[in-house]
Amino acid sequence: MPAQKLPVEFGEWRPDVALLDSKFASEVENVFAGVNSYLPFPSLQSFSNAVIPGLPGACGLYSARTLSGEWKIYAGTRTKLYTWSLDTWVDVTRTVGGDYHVQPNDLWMFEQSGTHLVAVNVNDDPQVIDINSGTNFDALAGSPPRATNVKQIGDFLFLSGLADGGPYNRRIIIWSAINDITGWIVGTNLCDMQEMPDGGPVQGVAGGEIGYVLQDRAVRTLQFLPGDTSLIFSFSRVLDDRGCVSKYGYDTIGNVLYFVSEDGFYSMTGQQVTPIGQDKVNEWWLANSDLSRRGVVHCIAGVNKPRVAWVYHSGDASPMYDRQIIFDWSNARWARATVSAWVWALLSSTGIDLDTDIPGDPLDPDLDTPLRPSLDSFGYIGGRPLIGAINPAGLLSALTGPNLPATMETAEVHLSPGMRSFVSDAYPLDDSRDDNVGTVAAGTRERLQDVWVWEQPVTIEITGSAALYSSSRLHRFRRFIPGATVWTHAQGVVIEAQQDGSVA
Amino acid sequence: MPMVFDKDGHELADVAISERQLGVLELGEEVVVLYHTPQLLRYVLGEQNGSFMLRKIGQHIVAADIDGFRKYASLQRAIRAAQEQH
Repeated sequence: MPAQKLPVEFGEWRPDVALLDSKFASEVENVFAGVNSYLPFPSLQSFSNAVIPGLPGACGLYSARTLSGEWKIYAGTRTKLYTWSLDTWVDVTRTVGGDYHVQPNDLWMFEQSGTHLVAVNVNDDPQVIDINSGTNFDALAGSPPRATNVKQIGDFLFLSGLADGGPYNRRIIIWSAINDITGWIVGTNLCDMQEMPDGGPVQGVAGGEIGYVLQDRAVRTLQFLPGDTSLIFSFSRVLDDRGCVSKYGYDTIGNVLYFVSEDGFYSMTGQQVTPIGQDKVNEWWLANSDLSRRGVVHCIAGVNKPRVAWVYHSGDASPMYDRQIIFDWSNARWARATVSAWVWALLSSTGIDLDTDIPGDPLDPDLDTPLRPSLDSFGYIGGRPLIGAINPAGLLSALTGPNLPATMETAEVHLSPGMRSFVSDAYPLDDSRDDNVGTVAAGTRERLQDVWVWEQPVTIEITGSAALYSSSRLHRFRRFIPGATVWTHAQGVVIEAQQDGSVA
Repeated sequence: MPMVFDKDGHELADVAISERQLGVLELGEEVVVLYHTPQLLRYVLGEQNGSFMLRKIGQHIVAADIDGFRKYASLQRAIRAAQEQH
């Protein structure tokens, strides 16, 4: 039988399903999932060489907007709060009360309310700064309780994950007076609190016009009742015996809530619950994440792409977040990446000007360099959405760097039903534009009962093919694209195969 | 907590007023205070709600509706007492 050329697509990454002659892939790394391809995952690129003081311990990051529309970046460590000023960190820690006391693995959580930015961690009084003119954070007026999370819902600022003590406990949430983040007198100007009778401690509050209260073992919706000065909000339990396992593991896009539960990932729209990770990645993730730090898994919902990412620790030896699992809600596909950073956040690029040259900043090159942006570039304005982080070296960074080394896998194929197949070469269906275009490896097994054996990756030759010379009944193929390679889509491989002899 | 007076300058009660509302009063504007029994204490204190207005005259914060203010001040005292007990 003559050799045939057969396209084999990279399968959807669903490591939880049975891989016996399925159409799914068990492995991908450092890619985004497209509708019929995988896309490259960029590395973290630092904004400058300014290290945030106090490493290790960067544990907060946020982008706030001034009245004039400019963006300001704030960050926190276990003891200090900082703001980013062109090329360096400026200490904006409170001037009264001394250092802060963020516990290891905890995060600062920030929320903008009008012209103010509120920052909370459960071991310090809530802090506030005027984004336009403030020089230092200060205690938020009105003596609000210490809280793990802060969220603006409509005209109210919600605090949740409250520190035990006085009238407060972890099952209570409190909201401010209407349009007044300094009003924390319960019973006054619609400020009040609600205790959840069951469902466990409150992890946080999320949402916009429709709010969600995420508890350890329940999820409730909260709905503002305009004109009702007695109840103010109504709470309805929509999910029972299942809630959010992490105090930072949830976020919303529009009215859609995404969260991570004891048994995996969910989305919720009003009363509609969707187990987005079931039969896809839940079991894999539970087996490949640090159980002891599942309570600090951090969810980040992107605004520039239809993606939600959870950053987590792969094991107890990881000193910082070192893995990302990403859900693309436009095509319901998952992917994953391996990038380390102390803390992650959705940021916006800060504006740059023509007068100031920031040495080493790739976003602010000298005017006379050929790489400078055109004079009408959006880059000078800032405000572009970015997934940002404080990288392991303590540098403010964004996912805008060269592509990470990528791994993609095809589904399992039985090229000659009932027979063995000899695969002579594989031709990658991707547009990697580099001399160093990587390798392809064949995975083989004779029977479904056998374990997979991965052969040595073979370099792609100048013809565009990799000479695999692999013989087996069942095949899979992995494509490795080296880091820093420029590419946009990878769809699969075309393999050249023919029927081979049988094994007794 | 600032003292609130009636329009004749007699002390009514000292109550907590938010920093933002104090700022509005300093600007010479009136503020409306809405009040209600907190949900967690409704079974103890019953359901009450209402509103009154405050304004600043000279150095005094003055309640225009004395009855409404007194109900509020009384409710706030009851809330504090109930929170301490529970």
